[in-house]
Amino acid sequence: MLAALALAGCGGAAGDGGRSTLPGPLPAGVRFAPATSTAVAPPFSLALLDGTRVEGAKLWRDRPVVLFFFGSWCSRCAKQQQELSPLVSKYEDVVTFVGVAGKDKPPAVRAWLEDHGVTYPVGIDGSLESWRRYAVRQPPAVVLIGPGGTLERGWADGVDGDVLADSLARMVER
Amino acid sequence: MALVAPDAVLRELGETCAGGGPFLYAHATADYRIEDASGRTVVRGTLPEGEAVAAFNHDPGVPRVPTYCRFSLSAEGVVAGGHYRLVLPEGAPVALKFGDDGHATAVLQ
Repeated sequence: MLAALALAGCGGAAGDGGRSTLPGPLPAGVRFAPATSTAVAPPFSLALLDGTRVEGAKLWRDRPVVLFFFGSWCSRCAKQQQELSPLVSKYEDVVTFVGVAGKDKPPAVRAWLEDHGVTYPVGIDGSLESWRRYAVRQPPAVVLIGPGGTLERGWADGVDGDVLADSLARMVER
Repeated sequence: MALVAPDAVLRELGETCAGGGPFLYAHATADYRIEDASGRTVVRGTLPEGEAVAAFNHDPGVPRVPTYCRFSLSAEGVVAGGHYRLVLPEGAPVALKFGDDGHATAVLQ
């Protein structure tokens, strides 16, 4: 699986949300600060829009993960995506961003990804199981998970880009 | 008329919202219809953005307070005092209740 992830590389087209958007190998020289939390991130499994199944534990095995719980019908999610976009570019292959839609349909989500230039992996959790595990009551919500699976921070009402940028800057050493 | 999702989510008053927690199915773009006592559809539409309204008549003095998400819907074709139900693609149909001013409200359950 990890080899598959590495081979998958990155740079998928906006709107795809599938396997081609998974990160490539961790760049040489990147290190991460020790965890600031002892909380353990709840495990989750998600089918991406192209059917590729990803496991949280494999995603955060060697790098941080940012989960973005969103909806294609959620107007505030567009603003949240604007805040995330520069960080997605800055931390390509260093931090894995994952979009988790809930009550949504694939065509609507694909259109939303296209409209908002989303280049990271995205799946739809129709059962809302991962939403419940992360206590998400409404989108947008953002969760930061450290390498190894420490639950570092969660923002139940979305997060300012500057705040997330500070958190990532403290976590990533390069 | 108003459709209310009594989700008690912490929000800033007036911010746009969708139903939270068990009411995630109540969101902008979701189809709805209102049927009369015979089951005939009298209004059909899609939900707009909701607006956060205070859940309690009490100001705790902080920006984000417990709220409900309220959607303002067209009720053209609905006669005040009649028996109607609002139907969404998910969740149980909910009865419209009319206030003294004739304004109708449906509260998700």
